[in-house]
Amino acid sequence: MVKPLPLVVLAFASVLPLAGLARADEVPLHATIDRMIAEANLGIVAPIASDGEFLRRLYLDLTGSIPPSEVTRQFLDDATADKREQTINRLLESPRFSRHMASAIDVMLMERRAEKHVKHVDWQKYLYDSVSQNKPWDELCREILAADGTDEKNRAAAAFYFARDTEVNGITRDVGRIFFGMDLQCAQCHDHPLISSYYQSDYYGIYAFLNRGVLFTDKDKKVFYAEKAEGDVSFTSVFTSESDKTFPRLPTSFEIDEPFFPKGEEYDVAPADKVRPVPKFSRREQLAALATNGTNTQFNKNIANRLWAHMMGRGLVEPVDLHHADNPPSHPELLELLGDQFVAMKYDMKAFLRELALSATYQRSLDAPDSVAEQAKTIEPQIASLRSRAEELAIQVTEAEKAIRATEEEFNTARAAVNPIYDELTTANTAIGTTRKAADAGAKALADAQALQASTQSAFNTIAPLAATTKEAADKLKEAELVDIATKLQARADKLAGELAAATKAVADKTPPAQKSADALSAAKQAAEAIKLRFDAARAKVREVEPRLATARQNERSAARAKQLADDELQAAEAILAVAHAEQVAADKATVTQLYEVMRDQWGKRFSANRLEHLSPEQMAWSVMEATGVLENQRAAGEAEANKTLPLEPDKPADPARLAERNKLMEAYVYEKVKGNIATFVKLFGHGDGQPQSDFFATVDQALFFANGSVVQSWLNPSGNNLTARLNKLAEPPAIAEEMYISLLSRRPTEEEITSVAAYLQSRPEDKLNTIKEMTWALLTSAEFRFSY
Amino acid sequence: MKCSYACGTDEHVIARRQFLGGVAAGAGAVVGGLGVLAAPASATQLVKDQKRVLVVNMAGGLSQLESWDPKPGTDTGGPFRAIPTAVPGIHICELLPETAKQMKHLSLVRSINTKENDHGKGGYAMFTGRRQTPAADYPRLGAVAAKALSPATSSLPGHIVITPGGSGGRGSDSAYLGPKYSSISLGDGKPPQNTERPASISEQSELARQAFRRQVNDRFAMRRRTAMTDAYTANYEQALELMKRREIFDITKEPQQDHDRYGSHDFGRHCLLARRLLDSGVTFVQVTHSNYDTHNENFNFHIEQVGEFDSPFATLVADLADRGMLESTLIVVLSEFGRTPNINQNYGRDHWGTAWSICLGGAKIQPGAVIGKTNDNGTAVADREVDHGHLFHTYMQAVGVDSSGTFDVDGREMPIADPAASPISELLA
Repeated sequence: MVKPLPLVVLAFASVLPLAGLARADEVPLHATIDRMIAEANLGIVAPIASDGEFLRRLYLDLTGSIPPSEVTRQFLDDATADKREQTINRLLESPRFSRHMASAIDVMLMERRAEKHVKHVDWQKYLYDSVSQNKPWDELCREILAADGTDEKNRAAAAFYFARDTEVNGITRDVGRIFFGMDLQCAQCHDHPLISSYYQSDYYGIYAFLNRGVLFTDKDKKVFYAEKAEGDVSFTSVFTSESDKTFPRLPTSFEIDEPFFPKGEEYDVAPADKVRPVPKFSRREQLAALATNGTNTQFNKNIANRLWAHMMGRGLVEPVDLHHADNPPSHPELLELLGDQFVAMKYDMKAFLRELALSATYQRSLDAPDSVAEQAKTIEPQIASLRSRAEELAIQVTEAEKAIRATEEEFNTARAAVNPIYDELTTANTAIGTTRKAADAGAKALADAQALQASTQSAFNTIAPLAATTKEAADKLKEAELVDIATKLQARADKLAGELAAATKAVADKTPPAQKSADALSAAKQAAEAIKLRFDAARAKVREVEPRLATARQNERSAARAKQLADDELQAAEAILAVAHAEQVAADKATVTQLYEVMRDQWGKRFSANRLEHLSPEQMAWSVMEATGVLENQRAAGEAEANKTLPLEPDKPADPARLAERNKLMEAYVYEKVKGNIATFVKLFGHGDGQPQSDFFATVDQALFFANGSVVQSWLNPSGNNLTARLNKLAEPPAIAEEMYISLLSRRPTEEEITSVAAYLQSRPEDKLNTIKEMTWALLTSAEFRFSY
Repeated sequence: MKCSYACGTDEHVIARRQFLGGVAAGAGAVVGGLGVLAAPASATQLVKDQKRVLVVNMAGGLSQLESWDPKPGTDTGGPFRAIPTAVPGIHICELLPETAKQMKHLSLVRSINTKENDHGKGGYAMFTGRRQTPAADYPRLGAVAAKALSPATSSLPGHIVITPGGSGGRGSDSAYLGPKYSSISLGDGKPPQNTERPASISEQSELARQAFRRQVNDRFAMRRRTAMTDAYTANYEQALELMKRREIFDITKEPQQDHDRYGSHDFGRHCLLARRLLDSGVTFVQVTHSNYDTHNENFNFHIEQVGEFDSPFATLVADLADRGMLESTLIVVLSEFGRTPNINQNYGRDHWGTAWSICLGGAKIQPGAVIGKTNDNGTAVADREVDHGHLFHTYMQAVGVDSSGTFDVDGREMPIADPAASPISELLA
């Protein structure tokens, strides 16, 4: 791969009060992250965020809420060197972390779709329990991707498919987007018109894992996502009218090999009325297994990138569902490393998030250094070489594209040879089905005849000796009655002899056709076997080219990526130079700030400074309730409840398991009490069901809800130990200002802000409570509250 | 360095494209930029030129035979006569005498075949111009109109749905266009939720808290100001603006004689409210008249329902014409489907997407036209068959939107209307 030019490698030494848990001889992941981000820096790096800024950010990312005021106050006053690391560790073990991550995963996977066949609370509990147990990501995905609803314990995992009506195009798109970071929607009807590396065959590769799924309702009206053993996938481009077939294939991987089952032998449980079919080979299980076995790098990079975006506010690839060559990661090698490391960490989300939180990259401030003149001096001499490098790389991209073409042609030829043989195999398998019917019928006729022959023989064997003996007796004794019986027995024996002869003939007649049809079945199977050998040979040829094609494609991707990165770097460098130049010639303030903003945007993309991100609807709900003291009051009630159900045992040594259980109980108590409020915020601040949920939007009903709605107004009334009650008890304006700013914005007020608060209080001293409520409202509705920074 | 001015970054470029608001304007990481609020003086001019849409949703499925496509004297025709209208040659059902007088402003499409007999799916097709599939959701007509036509500077919601009941709130009907274009419903014609300042907050308190909010925001903007922070802070100003203009939702401000003309029943009041909203510059207003799902006693129900519809609707059409607003306002009277020519044993008519009609007019719709026809007893389309896709294209073209264009949603090109369909060009002036 082509390595981007290390343009400006400034000595990057920021001393952080952090230490990893890694062995001494091993560089912890967070340090590697910082090194790789630093190597790509363009001279300017924001300082490490202040304690208040860090704490607010960390609480929002790990617990989904701003910190409680008491926690903030203690943290700000705490002089312990490793307090950041301690807080990270503590939060990761808190029940609020489980709740928040479960909610984030829920929104990511379901995008607020309505429940179907699985209750939403069951699905949420499934996710909450999974995060609580720190279930690895691969295991969670295996359960979700393989789900058919039959596993009683994990039936909720099927909600991903159920909520999408198990409609194959819908789930194909979302499996691609959510688990592989590739939105292949536009490749459903043709190769993607805008993204050169998204092929129609990519879309149908995933589709082929899923198109055999059927919704099955049992006699108790319970619904399952069953699977059939048949259903091949072919597709036609609406642009070129070219058609092709595909076997199941994961993105960036190759078609899978499947066992061949002669028609009639492909099911463990054959489909029938009110019978849920169970195929011998489940493609859906293959999807779950192959995606999560650690070897699919796209699956690994997708989740590493999404967890990165969860913490950093922006993916290394952004948007997170558009991984492709023309939208390369801002730091490609870092993303590769993160994907691999996440696998090495056994897909442990908690451990991975911990490393991200420990990194200096995560802890950068929103603010950047004041002057860029120094940095510009370093950059200036390199700008020419950077330009020529971008041009040089453009040529390399063209060459890589050329190189890929020959291999692609070879691959296409080999691949094209497979389809007709597969058609033959399908025809042969249909013939097996037909001959199997004849063979089954022939065998049954023969078996019936044989059974009749046997029963006739048995009857004859019983009667014939009896007739002979009776005749003997009759001849000897000459009794009329006896003679009569002997005659009748003989007649019966004669009739049976005739029947036996007929039955024997029938057996003889039916044997050759039975044999013939059995032979025909064997022949059909043999014919299929022979074709299968040719099919395997053709597939082997394809597989022989595959690694070479993979390499060629990798080279092409690398070249395109390097080119894109060089362009980005050039852009970023030029942005810095533009600012430096404007400062130098003392351009007007507006121009300088404009250019400065362009440059800041570049830093955010390169993770040199923190970015401003909006709170999710859930974060907004929890934060408003935390700030106003709704949660404080609920926590007190929750603790009282826990004291009844699981009291502390002051006489015994502390039992960590008991404490953890108490914490879970208390958190669950609060959650149950406030989840209605969260739903209100989701309705206001969330996108529609089934839509991507990440974009920021502001609608008037949100502002009106805050301005005039009864919910927020009631939270601003003093009650228990809530915020306005606490503030109202304070006498001195600086104390009021401090409590207000710590509670709402997780930081102490500046002198200027204290003065403003004092002036506000002073304007209507007789109306103290209202002035407090008004200022609280104003901070609650401020941009600083609405965003994470 | 402190920042006091914002532009030039990706975020801002995207936001600026959004402020433009029009067709093919970009949506990106930020949705809901507002820009500068309109000064009331310039708003007047905007209102006059701005294209608007009024939809009357005849919920449940209006019978085409008892409205726009009567077949008197046939086995399917039912008991009602057809009457002449202001346009020579066009006859409609005798239940619509007032509307008949306004026919010079209106047109009919009598050859709709949506092949859809399900309420939900039929409504979806008519409001999105596409068939419903689980794989993708499409924005409703109101959301598309709001996105394409609403002035960037408007402080009013662009997509309003007046419903007979309900408590109001934001709908989930804008799909990928985002919540900014979702419907705000006015339950029973009541103003949007939370538009009135609670009595517990004095005017003095309101002024003081808003001033403090602005001061706090200004301080933060010195540290960081982006399109998102702008959109968020401006949102509170827009809310104040809307509160100030709350009386546009209040039809008691309309003269008594207009109340008399429109009638005191729900539909009459809602039509008057629709007029008031369109007058005030709201882009899309939908009035619902319910319920036409007449599986039983179709004829008695239609006497009652269409009778209630006729006069307020005709009054509204006449008023829009008088005020010079018809050139800019598209009117559509639609349903999810029509009703069967066959009369069932309960004297009812059932669901029928096969051959039915809508009425439309205003904007660039050719007045006094009839598009297509059904056969003699209305059991099939006989000429110029169209479906929901053609209609949706036609609505867009009628308000000056290139229906073959696309919306740029986060870098993804989304066709405004189904690319497989086309407008009914002969209906467009």
